[in-house]
Amino acid sequence: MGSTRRGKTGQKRRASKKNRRPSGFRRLLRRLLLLLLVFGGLGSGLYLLYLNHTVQVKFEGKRWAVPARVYGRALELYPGASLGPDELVQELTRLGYRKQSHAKQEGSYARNRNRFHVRTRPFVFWDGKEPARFLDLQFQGEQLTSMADGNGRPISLVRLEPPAVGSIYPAHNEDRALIKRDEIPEQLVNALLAVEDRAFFGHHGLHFKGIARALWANLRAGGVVQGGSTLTQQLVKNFFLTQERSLQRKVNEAFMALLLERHYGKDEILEAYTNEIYLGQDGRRAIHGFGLASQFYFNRPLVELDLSQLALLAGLVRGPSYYNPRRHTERARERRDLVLRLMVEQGFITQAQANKAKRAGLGVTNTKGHGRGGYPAFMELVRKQLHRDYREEDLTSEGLRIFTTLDPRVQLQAEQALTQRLKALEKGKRLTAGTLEAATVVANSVDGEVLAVVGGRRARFAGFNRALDAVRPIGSLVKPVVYLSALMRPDRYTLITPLEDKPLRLTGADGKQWAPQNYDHRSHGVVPLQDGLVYSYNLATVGLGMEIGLDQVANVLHNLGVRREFEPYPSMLLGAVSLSPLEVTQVYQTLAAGGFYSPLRAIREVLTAEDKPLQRYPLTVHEAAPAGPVYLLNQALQDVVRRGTGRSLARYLSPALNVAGKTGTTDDLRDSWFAGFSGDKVAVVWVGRDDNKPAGLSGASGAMQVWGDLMRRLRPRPLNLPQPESVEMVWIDPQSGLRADGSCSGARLLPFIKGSAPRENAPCAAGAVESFIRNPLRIFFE
Amino acid sequence: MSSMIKIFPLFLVFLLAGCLGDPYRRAAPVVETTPPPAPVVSSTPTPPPAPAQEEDVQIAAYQPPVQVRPEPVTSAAVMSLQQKANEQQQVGDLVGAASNLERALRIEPRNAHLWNQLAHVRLSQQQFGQAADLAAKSNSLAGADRWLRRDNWQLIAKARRQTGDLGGARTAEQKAASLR
Repeated sequence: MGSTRRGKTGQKRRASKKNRRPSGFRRLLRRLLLLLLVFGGLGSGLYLLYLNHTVQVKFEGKRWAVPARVYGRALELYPGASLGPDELVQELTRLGYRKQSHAKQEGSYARNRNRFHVRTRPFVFWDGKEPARFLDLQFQGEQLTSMADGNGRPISLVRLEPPAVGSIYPAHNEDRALIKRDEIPEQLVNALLAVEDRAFFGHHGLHFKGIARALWANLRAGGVVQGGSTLTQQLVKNFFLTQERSLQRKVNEAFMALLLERHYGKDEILEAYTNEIYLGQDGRRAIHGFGLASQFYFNRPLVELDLSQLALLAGLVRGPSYYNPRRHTERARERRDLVLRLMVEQGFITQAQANKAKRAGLGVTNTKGHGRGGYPAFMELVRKQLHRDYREEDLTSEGLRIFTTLDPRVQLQAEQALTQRLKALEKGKRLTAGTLEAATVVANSVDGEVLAVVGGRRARFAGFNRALDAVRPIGSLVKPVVYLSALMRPDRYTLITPLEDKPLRLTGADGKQWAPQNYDHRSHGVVPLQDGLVYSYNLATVGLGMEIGLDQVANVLHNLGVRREFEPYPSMLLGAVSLSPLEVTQVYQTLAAGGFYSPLRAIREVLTAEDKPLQRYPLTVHEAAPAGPVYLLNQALQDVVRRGTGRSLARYLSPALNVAGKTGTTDDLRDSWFAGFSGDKVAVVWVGRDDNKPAGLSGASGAMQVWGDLMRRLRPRPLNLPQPESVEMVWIDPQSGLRADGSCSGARLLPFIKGSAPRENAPCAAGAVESFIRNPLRIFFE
Repeated sequence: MSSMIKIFPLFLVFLLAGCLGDPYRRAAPVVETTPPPAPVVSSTPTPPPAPAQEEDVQIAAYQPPVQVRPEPVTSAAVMSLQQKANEQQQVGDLVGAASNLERALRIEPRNAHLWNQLAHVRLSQQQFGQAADLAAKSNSLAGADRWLRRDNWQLIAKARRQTGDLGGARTAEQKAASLR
């Protein structure tokens, strides 16, 4: 019994022992599992924590590097403004305004010949917000004559929003313009839901039914037509993860999507999504977010897009390059129509709405919106000026708003004048097309604001920026500096001081003898000082410059705004000084402004992304040269155009404009220059060859042709020089160079610094009775 | 050559100074508020009143002939900016005032009163050199406006006195006195 019991128990024990062995194994397993679970749990817990941290840090912090947005000048509208109706249309087109039969929506206009109704968009400027307005505009010729609001009340002044002309995006080339949740059109949200994630507002980051449905749809279609990823997953993928396709990434994506949903609301996620998503490519520039995509494809803000356009954008998410509406019109249309169909299916829109939207064209513009770098030469100047005050990373990431002085209208005209004239010049000289290069800078002569920069023939493409970087000998463009230096000493020099235009020999830069020559290889004997400039006589100018002293001339050149250092050799007097077109523009700006130097500026203001004023680049003036001598010089420069080397400008510009300018030519006709100014603008043109071979053009036959064509297009204001206090006008007999009166035939009225005019009367000035009658008449006719 | 070596650092300093430009400063506290001179306003012909319009009405094709006006001395556009600048000057928003005056100058670059007003703003900001230069610019455009020229010279005198140029200040005062 006992044994049996024992036996039994032994058996039992054995059995239990037998049982115990596997149970021990199990325990081990269990322990292992537990251990695994603990460590694994700990590990994956830590990993989740890490993911959580990643999600939060990135989402809470600054989410995007937002490139600085660069704007051109805002067009000022006021009665009396020099602006033609077609120019207004150009500007409105640039701003993406739509022409309609009635201007009902912001960003639209209606036109009936010379009368316009415009509904402007609101815009935040440096000095506050310009509200949206209704404008009733009337033009007469090339002038805006009246401006009123919807009730006929006159408006004295309005700024249109400034055209966006570029952005400064970082090295990874992501460009975007942020929008806020309340700026996202509801129809865009609906379209996204319909095509990408119909359960967005219901799920917690993942949507298994959606995956299944997508799988089914794709199977049925025999290709990928729907994705199973939720918007949240897509955001996570774009935002945190690389583009590799692996299981691990997919798992990470799922967890992060769940985490993101746990921490943030649907609206926040939607806002991030609309700003993050990749929607197109523009060369090296990647278009991110719907805000920028709207500008990129339609050249209009997102809020102004209609259903058809919003559906098109929503459809792009799946494959911006595959559905590129510029390249694959039909594909893009089908995709848009699919989005519209899904929107109907899900009850977001009616069939009628969809049908109407389907009938619409794609509406994609050719211009690819702003920011595309259409003004590379000007933008380089902007960057150079910004880099004095900002770090590159601030420019590429802080979303700064930069207001520049670029006038797209002037820029366009400058580009066109330059390319068209170069073609004509090449044809005339029987040169191979593309031989000649050129550059030009146009600035406001009064305040030094740079209006346009053209760096070469292919102005829309970045490349060698000749306007800033082609440093070339300026030839006779330096002569005004020599003559100004002389006129600044009225005790010795006036406009009629006799100069000898005769051969001379000097020691040149290299220590060798130097015998300058006139352009026509002739000497002209004794000439009045002003004629040395008007006819650009080299010998007279060198003689004069040597009398004044090279240091003095170099000094005046520096005062006029040249910062570059150079050796004052005699050859400097004929323009052996090398400067860029931009530097020359500075010199002539100072002259054009009557001796008041204003540093050339490309930027007016910088605002933060939140529209807070950050920095202003104010207008400054500095009396760099005395007003009297500059006035005499400018009169002579007007004579250059009236009767001197620039007289063929009359082909382009009315003599009544009285523009002033100077031709410049360098040895062997390598460089052809023209610099000059009207009442409101100063412009410099260089024409030559990149390989520095002779271009075969003088200043007058080359650069001046471009200049004349350019200025003609800009409708310049006439140059009426204000006569300074220190100047008096005196009648001079050209024969004797002495005071004349009415009895001297051919007498001319010339400006003198007070006290410097000749005191003696000319032989002809006998004070006859008739002079009493004729003199006032002459004044009248002069 | 040695003179070049001596000059070179100086040149560098100038170059750097040129590069740095004027750092932007917030408006300095208003030191003095000189009332800007009243502008000489030409009688600006008011534009012909536009016929009252419903917004949805097609634009009338007929337009009454409009006279193209010569540029007035001070247009309504510029007057509105000047007015705004005046108000800003009074409340000490000198940066804002300068900004509006610059905008006005872009429309009427030869308006000597605008240059004068900007000079006053800069003087209030204690930018004495700039104030004097702006006043000189105003003078160069002032023509026969004796009142304006006197005001400019007085301003130049003040600015010069502040920078310690007492001789220059006296000369400017004499100029101002001669314009009485």
